[in-house]
Amino acid sequence: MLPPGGRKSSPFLEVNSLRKFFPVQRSLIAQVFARTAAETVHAVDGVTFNVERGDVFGLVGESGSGKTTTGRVTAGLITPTEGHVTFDRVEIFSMGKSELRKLRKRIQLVYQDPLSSLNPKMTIGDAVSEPLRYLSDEPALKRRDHVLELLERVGLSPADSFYFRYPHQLSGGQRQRVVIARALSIGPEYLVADEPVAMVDVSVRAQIMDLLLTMQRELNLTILLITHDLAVAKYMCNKIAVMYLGKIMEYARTEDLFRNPLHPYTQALLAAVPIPDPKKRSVKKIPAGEIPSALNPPTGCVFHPRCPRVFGKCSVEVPSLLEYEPGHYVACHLYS
Amino acid sequence: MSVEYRTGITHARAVQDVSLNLKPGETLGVVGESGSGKSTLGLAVMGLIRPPGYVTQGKIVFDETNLLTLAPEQLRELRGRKIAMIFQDPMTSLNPVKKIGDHFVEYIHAHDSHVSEQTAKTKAKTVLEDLGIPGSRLDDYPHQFSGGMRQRVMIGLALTLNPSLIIADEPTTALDVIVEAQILQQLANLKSKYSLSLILITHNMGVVAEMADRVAVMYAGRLAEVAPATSIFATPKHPYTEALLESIPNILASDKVLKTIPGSPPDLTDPPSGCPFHPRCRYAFERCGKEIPMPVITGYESEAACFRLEEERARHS
Repeated sequence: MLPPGGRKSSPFLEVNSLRKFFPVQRSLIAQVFARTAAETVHAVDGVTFNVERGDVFGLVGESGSGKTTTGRVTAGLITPTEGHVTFDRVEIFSMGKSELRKLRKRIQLVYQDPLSSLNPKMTIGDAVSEPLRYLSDEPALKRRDHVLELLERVGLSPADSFYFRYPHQLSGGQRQRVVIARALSIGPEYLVADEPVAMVDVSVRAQIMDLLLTMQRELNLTILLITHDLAVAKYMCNKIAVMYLGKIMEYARTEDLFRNPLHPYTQALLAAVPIPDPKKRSVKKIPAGEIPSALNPPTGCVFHPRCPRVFGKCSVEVPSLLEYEPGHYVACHLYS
Repeated sequence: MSVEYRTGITHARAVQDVSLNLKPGETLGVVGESGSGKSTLGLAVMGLIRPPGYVTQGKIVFDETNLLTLAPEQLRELRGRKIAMIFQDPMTSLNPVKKIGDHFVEYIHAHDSHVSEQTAKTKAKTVLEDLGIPGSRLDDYPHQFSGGMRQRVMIGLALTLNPSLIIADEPTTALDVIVEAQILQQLANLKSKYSLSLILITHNMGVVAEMADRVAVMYAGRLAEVAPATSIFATPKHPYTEALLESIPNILASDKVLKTIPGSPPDLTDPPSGCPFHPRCRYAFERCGKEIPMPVITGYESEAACFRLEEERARHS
């Protein structure tokens, strides 16, 4: 069966049966006297998807769904417990040091909190030129022009007035522009954006979303967008994978996912989103409870204890992600 | 009412000339971004503005009493019994080494030391069960609760003394979307059960659209607009409200193109002259940068502070 995402022989990014377990650190006393086995967090538990070049691919889920860990593994920052990540036909985790260094130029990240990802003692110009300093052999003089052009490009204009400023002198939205400029400075092909607008003021969010989309078009970037906000994902992504407790529950092109959400979890998520229109107010069917601990995930389908449509099989057998309609995959026994 | 924070040489005017009212049983949504003054407004009603913050002018009248003239003991008496508050982060509001039940006992004793521990715990049990938490969990510690359950405990504490007004400041912002929906639904149900009025402070337009009867929009410490929820979303009168609604994504809107608002919210220690929104406003004209607009009535229970509305009115009359 073809994995969700692409039908071509070699997709740009291929994630295959990815697992990442984190051991829980126990105190010395617990280690000596422990009667229970050491525990592991099942952060990502068997995730497979493909991303095509030029996609804005959304990983959507609540906290604890494993979306951030998945994103970091695809950027080569965390070594998976099991599984493969192939970037442009090369397996990331079998690379040597020098190959990995070359890969750094092609993959960059943007995080949620621009203030904590910028050094408060470094000027904007220095921050944006840092990747160039380490990863390119561009001469210093050229580097400066390059950075000024980048600042201009991400909307920090006039660039020379921003070059010598410090992060605390900028607004939240401007700081996120700096972080985006820094990520783009080295000319990456693949960008992992982890909640890039979650901490930006509401009236500035659309600016940052549009900036990312413009950069994506102009530079032919491939973006993995990690977000808890379905409205943000709908606006930005062409494909979306919905994650829950380390697994992909549903995957589809954005329009298909919103037109015909299949998985009861996706349906619950969509029903829960507050709609900015009082005329659409309605009594919502919300499943009870919260996302269980990834230390001890439920048997069978991980969503079954909360699922309104649960039946016999669900607590026993793990549903696999199957193609329900062309390009629309769902991991639910209702459809198998 | 106005509130100022005085730190060293800078004065931040967090709330300026805001006038609002709330009817019994009503839910008033107060929306704004960070720095809009919405949280300060809530704290002021609770009498919780502490130096370097000062209420510099105005009145806060609750049930015919001006809260600003009350002595600290009288205010303490009122707080909890008549007005209670729920904050964003339940973990910082709960004591990690205290059992959930003891939080209730302490809360009740702070207002009436004659209540027996048994009575207090029985009350706690009823309130928690109203919120879907089994009474047996009174002996648990906060860390044994999930984020959503902790926030339910906070709501439970706020309800314990049967107040008539609850001020909820971003009560669901730290929670995941499904838990948020659960808690908002419960809050709405409890509101009628306990005959409460609710001031819901949030940055999330979706949350106010789901919950509020009336909505007040704040920007840079000032009230931009207040109107019934249905009319503010259908026909926003203030350019800030209009622009904000056009800039937020909506999962029900098909292929909506978002319009961005240029710039960012102002620094309150150095606000722009005139209308604080004028540097970002698509309709701004000369007067907007010079004078501060006063609220004009725009409809039933509606007003907005914008010169464009004032000029329109002058043209028609």
